[in-house]
Amino acid sequence: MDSLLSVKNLTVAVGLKAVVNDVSFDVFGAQIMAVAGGSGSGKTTIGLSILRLLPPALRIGQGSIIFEGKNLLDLSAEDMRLCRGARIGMVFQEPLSAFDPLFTIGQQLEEVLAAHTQLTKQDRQRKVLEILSDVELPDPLRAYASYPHQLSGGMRQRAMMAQAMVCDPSLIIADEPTSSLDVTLQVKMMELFVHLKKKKNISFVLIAHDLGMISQVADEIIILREGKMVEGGKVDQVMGCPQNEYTKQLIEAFQ
Amino acid sequence: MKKRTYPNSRTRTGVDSFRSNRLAMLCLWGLVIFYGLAICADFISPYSYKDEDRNFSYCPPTTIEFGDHGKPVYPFVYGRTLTFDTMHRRVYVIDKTKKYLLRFLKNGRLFGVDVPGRLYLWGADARGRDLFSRIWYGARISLSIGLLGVAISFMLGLLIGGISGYFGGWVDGVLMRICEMFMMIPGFYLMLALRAAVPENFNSVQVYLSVVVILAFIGWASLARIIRGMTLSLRERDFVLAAKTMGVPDIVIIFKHILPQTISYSMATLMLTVSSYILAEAGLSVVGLGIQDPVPSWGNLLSEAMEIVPVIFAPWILLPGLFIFIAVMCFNVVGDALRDAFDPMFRNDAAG
Amino acid sequence: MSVLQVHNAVKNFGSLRAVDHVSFSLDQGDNLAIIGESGCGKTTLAKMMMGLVKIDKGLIKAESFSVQMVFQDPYSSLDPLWNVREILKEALWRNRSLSAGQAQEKMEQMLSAVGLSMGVLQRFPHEFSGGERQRIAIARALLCSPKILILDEATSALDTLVQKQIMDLLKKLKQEFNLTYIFISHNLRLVRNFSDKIAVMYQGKIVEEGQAKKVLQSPSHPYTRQLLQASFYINFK
Repeated sequence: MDSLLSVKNLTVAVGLKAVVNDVSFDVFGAQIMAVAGGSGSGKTTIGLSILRLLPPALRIGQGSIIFEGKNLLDLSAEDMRLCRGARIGMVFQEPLSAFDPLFTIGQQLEEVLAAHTQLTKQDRQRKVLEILSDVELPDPLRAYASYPHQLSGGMRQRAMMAQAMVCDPSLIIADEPTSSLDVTLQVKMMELFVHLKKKKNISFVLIAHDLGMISQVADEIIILREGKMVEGGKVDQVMGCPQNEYTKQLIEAFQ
Repeated sequence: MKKRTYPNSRTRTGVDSFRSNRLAMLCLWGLVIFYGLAICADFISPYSYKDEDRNFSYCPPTTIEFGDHGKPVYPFVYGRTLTFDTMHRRVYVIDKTKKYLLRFLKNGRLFGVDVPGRLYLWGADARGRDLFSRIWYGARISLSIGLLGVAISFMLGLLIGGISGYFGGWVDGVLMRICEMFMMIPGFYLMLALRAAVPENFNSVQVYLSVVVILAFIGWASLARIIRGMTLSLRERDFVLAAKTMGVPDIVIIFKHILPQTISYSMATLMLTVSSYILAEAGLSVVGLGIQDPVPSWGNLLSEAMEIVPVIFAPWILLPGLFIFIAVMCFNVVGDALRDAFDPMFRNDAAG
Repeated sequence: MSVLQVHNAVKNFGSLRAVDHVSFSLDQGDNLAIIGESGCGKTTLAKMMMGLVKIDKGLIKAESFSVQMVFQDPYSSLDPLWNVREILKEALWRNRSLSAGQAQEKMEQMLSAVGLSMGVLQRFPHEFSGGERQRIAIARALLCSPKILILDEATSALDTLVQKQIMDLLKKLKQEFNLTYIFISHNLRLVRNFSDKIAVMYQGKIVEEGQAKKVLQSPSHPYTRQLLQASFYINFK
């Protein structure tokens, strides 16, 4: 089976210092891939590399990122822009900064649709409401008409998820999507990931430092330390009998 | 390369970003040169600001001659004789029989010419005083009045804004209403009103100081409001709470934790305020309420150019205006650049 | 011996009751965890115990200056313009009669207690990692020689491994300085091997309180059960 996303020998550097060093992994359809590691492990950089949103100081030294058969690193800036948002969605840690405070959630989601599709106004509206109920917001109509500050933290995080998947992408990159939430909300968010994976056939790259939480939902996992991949494989296998000393420490720390 | 240390990364990126702004660095150097020349006014100008010669009223700029009939000689100036044309206008005729040699480092001045010759590099005013000299003496007043005024309103603004924002409640209410009262009255009228309260018979030093105080008085309110806003958010920061729990008195917290955080931003505002004070002093002087003749300031030098006739026949009396323009522009450019460099709202910090 | 008593403490913000008739008392050496989600009033309660927020009704009794606090975000709890020496010195404010040598000695002792070297005194907060900053914050709090230390989500902003190191350090310091801890968190998992007593807060009230073992094994309040499930990832794949 062909992989949906294939990252091969990715190396990203600031000057001569490699922040991501020779990392490879594959994500298949409807699969959750966890990328775990401490701060400074390069996990966020991997996510930004896939989206080609790296800050100017960071350069991709070598490697390839094949997504749906195309190398993302070879795409023109315009093609990449079309790909981002339409085929690859993104969810970040801080939901409040992802939305413009002056527009309603509905307006902002429709704007994404308008940029990537030819749908009519009515169709866009129908689609947005549908997505808002897909992410299990309790009252989609109210969320549609709400301004970002009117939603609670958990609801905002769901609205951001809706924004990421409004164009039916096949992959969503989620960078620490739950760290700003309370535990009870974290669990609900994780449940949503699993639900969307099954229902919508979306794959996820889930970037987080909390091994406990993501290991419960992910299918595969890679563990990063200072830019290098120390261990990777099926979650049950890595969590069940970790081979690497660092992985063992990580697992021990949260148990 | 010498490694420099700064108290924190914000200061470092700010300084780097300011240094990379070429226009701002140019203006900063311009200001440094202006202040340098103003401080050395006694040395670089050929005459004292009071040194007048009524025979040379509105004498046009003198040219320094470096050659005689094509031969290079020691630099000198020709003498001039005053005559009147058919319309009874002054005309200065160059008298080639009289030569006055240029002298350096005489009487504690950088350069001058032999008496009875006069050297007017940038022309003379109505009373035959050297404009070049008067501009640099005037720079002392104009450039220092802005700085002094700002220093005072800065201290007032920091203190009142800091106290207002930190304590909040009725203290904040009262202080901010006072600020608003000051900001409500148009600045120039407030200035005139305050000036009217100053006794007539003040000597020049007293007038100078009273103008400084007046300027400071109208400017502190807006700074206080800005500092108050910053303090409001700073006082909720954890390190301020931590200091409180350790029993540190409020006034110490304001001075040691809160105000230092606002410095880099207020430095920028300060620069912009200096330029507005220079303009305000010029405004007062132009209407005759600022520094009094014979002491020069750029403002009262320019007030001579209020009538059209002298300007037509002696356009060089507009020169002080050019200096005001350059100084104000330099302060504004430097101030803007400082704000861009230090205000986090305008800059994205890559480091998290 | 009781070091802190909270009796029917109430705090209102406008029409919102942030803390609603909360009572508990702590003995010397106790280790209490207050658990609840954001907005439940746990941070307000902590600030009331510190005297940073005025109490509307009720009573909080503690010896003055006997309570200190370690904040959640080590990036904002240290003044970015101060070096470590100045930061620590501020904690000795009430002991400013100390000679420079004595103060230096105290600071050095405390730094080695939290596992940092003397070299850090000249450095500024931005030069440190999150874990190191939190160590500095702990050293600062302890320099005030408190009896009670409130840890407000003190490890939440840190990586898992660093989190564990800080928790171990806190355990060690508790013995060394005979401290009483109040650990505030939204996550039961963090405190299960740390605290002896657990109080669960929900909408401003303490809904459940008891020995840690008992609360973790047989929670009585439905909200506690929900928290437990979430904190320990009851499998939902």
